[in-house]
Amino acid sequence: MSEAMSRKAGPGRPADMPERHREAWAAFFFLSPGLVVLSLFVFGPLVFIFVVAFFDWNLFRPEQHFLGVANFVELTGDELFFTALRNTTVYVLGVVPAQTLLALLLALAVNQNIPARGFFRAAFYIPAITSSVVTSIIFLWIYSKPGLLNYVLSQFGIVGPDWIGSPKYALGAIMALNVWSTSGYFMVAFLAGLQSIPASLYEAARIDGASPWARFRHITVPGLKPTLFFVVTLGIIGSFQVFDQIYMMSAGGPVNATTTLSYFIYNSAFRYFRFGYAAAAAVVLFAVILLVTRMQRKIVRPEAP
Amino acid sequence: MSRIMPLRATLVFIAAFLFGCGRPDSDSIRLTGWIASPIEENLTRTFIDTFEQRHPGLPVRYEPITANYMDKLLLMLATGTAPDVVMIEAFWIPLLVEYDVLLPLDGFLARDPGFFPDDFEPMLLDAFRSNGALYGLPKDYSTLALYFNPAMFDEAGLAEPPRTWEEFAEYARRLTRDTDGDGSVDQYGYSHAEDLEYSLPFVWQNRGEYLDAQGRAAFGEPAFAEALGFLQRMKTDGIAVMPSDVGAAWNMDAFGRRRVAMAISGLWAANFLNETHAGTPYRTALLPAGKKAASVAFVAGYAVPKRTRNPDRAWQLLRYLTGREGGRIWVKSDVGLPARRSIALESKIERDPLKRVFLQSLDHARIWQFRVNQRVLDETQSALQAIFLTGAAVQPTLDDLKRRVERGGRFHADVRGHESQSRSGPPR
Repeated sequence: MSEAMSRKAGPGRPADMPERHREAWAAFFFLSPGLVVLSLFVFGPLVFIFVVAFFDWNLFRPEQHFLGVANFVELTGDELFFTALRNTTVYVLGVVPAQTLLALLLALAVNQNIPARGFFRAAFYIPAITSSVVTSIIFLWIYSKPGLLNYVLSQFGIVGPDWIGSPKYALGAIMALNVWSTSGYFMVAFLAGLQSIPASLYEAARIDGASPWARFRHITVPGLKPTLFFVVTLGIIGSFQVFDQIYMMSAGGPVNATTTLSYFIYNSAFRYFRFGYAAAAAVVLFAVILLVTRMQRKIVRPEAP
Repeated sequence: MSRIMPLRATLVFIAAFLFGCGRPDSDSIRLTGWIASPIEENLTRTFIDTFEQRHPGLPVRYEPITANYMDKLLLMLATGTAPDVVMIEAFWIPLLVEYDVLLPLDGFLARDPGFFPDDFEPMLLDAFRSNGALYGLPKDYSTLALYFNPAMFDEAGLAEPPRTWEEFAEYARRLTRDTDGDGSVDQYGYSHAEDLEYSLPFVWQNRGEYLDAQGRAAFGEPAFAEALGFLQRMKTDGIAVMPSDVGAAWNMDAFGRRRVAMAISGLWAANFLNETHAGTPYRTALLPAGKKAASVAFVAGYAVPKRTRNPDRAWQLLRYLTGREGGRIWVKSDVGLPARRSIALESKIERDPLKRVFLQSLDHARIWQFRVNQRVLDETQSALQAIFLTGAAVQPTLDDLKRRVERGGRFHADVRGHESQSRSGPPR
């Protein structure tokens, strides 16, 4: 929107004022359904969280007591909250590098001139556009005690556990599912990044006698930096917010092994009806994501060198 | 002007659409419930048809909630959008009374001599009472009983179901067998479920409590731990399994797949076995008894939300749903027994070899109902998972659970400042 408007309504064309106004109005009119829905269901609640976090807010009571920071103080003494924080950290540390690396490898592979390239690209991307509820149910079958995974393992003489039913393996199993389901999406991002690297650079390097590894190291990797930043940022945010698979597959269990922050927040709000407490946990999650994203901005700079 | 017209038309359309979403025709009585089985659903539809025939001018709008019933209903109750009559498990009455979202029904009962509330099993009616006021009426119930596989009992040379804990463990041992001779056990004696309600009968039989009479945590006491220890030992001895150990979705699934000879469940499991595992023979018996007999009773009923727009119409539907005539329709249900004694007598439940066991269990059953924060129940569930899934030591796990939930300082209520008002402990 802004691009289109600024082009037409540049400062050098004061004579266009009335038309500019009319266009702005038209633009806002066409945007209004989106803006209304977004403000109502996204921006509004987002800001509201920071208010609710300071109250004892229970939907069933008309009065809401102001608590100050009491919800945050209570969080510091809540073992389940720290379990959730720990599980979430493990999840992010495991999923983000794995999905990024896998996505990069997939992108490199399908960027080659291999047979049935279109098929592979589509196949890897399908998990990303499949409903997470559906993939969760499919993986419940794969991971169950008599499921597909254990059948494959049994061919090698390994007796597999009940993956989701075991506190030891449940989180790892859900992490693996998420690496599988998100890497296809990020593969497309990397693919776009790869194709935006000018082929002339590779040609020049080849003429200079650069090895494939040197070409990858000195042309592909720097060229992919903006994409990498995008992928890692979205990956971190998405991983911190993991919910659907947990809700569908393990309900936070067994023995809280898969209780993540967003699941903790959901339970506090919609099962225990402590919306203030849940909002406080959500504020903490927001702060954590903000901090980590800023840190990672320092490590992976978005700008290409 | 003419350019504005489509805009106005669009807005009118959107407004009409949005209003249409939330506003059902105001004439009909809205009814909601979960769907326990296809038979239940058919009965509900039959029921509504019959009601509408008898009460011209009182149309009913049935809005069943197919999944996560209480999650959705609680939100509807909190936001004043719940239907006029809601199906409810007695379990939730203490919480909903505390949230003050249900309409007391005593006034309606007093003005309605033809309703005969004395006909209900007293304990089922009491399950919907709080501080002397009645907040719902029972529709049906089921207790927990022992399902056993008579063919497996025959093979093990056992004629009767176990009557005591000792017999229960001993029979389970004899029923645990390697049936195909490959050297690994493929039939176990008993399948336990880690949910609290399946351990509670054993706790109560051992004179233990989950909460004491004042509503305080009693699960740190030895009687509670002993009962769990007995069940955990059966598992470590290899004569009992958790459903997931044998690749089953729940304990009756393990029973249906013929991986276990005994499992505990309610009447609803018979319906599941008939439909999903029709080839598996089963019979039911009273639960084996410890120091005394005990079982759990799950009671389902109907209530009217406080913020209903038309309480009188809601009462008309409620009194029919839980009245004698309605009871005659529900009696065909395969998930519960009739809450009214006259209907139970009339339909000869006493002579039904399957159903009578659940009826007899009511004599020593207690209602599944606690006035406790959902968070405490979830923490309890995690502790039971630790005990039964990972083999954690019973007493330390329970001590840890007690410490965790008491430190939260919100043991009973979800709201601060209500701790001191705790009044109703466990039922009875």
